[in-house]
Amino acid sequence: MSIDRVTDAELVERARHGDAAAFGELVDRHRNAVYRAALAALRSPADAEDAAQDAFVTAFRRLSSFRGEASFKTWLLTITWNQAINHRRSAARWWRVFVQPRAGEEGAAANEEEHSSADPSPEQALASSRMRSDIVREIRALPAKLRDALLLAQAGEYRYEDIGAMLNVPVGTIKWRVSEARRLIRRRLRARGYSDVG
Amino acid sequence: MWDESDLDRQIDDAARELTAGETPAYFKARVLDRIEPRALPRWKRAWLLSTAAATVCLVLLVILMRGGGHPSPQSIATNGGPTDSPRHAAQPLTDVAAGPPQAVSTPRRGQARPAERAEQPIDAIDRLALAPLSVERMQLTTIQAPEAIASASLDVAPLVVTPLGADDGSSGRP
Repeated sequence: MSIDRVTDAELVERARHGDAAAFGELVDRHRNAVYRAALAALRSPADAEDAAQDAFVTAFRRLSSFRGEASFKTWLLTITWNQAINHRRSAARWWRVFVQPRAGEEGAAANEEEHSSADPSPEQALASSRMRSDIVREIRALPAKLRDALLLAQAGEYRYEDIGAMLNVPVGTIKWRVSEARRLIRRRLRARGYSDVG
Repeated sequence: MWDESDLDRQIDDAARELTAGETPAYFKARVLDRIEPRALPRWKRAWLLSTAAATVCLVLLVILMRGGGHPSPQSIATNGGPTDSPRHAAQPLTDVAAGPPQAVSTPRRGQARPAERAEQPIDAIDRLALAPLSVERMQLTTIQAPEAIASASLDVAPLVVTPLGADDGSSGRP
């Protein structure tokens, strides 16, 4: 049977018995979901990659404790989030964030320019670009709990149940946080002069 | 200018961009490298083992070179014996002053004779083992019998016994 058709649970069972190829397939399947979760917590792509690697290594070492009560992906994402939060708290990371240039922000700025280039008129492009910059700034200024929920919800990789497991809060709380994050951003944009907002 | 749904869409797009990205191509290989660090190649294990053995041997050699020198008789005479060895301190001073006859020819603890060194296998694990203990022969000095106790003869004056007289019995009465 092709390894592509094997379920995560079967791959986990093989990996428990030392099948590195099986674990490699699990890495292939979930690497982007893990990476984006780490990126939501850390902002820096380099830090996110480190945290994602740590998450997979930790998951491999803890495979024996995986009971199968949740899906492997949910379990893996929970480990990822914990790794990323530990990374976020480390002093070394703060040093890199404040001293070294922010690759993530550069990427976001490039995306903003790319996005604005699709707008029809220069005025609209300028307005859209400014607004996008302000939105990004307001997202980053959100309280961590609201920001994490919003970024994870919009990453496109996770169900609310996954996010709830990662953040260890009920699904209803996640939904409220996402809604509250949007409301706060709208209010702050209005304070910035976007008078027709909200 | 912007209604609420437009703005929510803008917010969601911005949030999506902040988490956009993919892992590099080498990501999987790095993860797999990290989860199998215990399977070191044989040559690497042998190299690590031989390096560790050489380090231990070097440390032992330094220790032996530092502690292997014999004290001079002068220092023994002033100090009453080497302080680092209670065995030597317990020896009679006369034996020590005559020189350490056994210590010269008998290896100390941890030292091997040259012939034994040559016979030792060069296997790394065996080199880690301590050399067998070699204990100096105990020198028992004969215990001299104590001199016999000679007691001086007592000089006793001879007693003179005289018979009692007839008046001797009433002479003391009033």
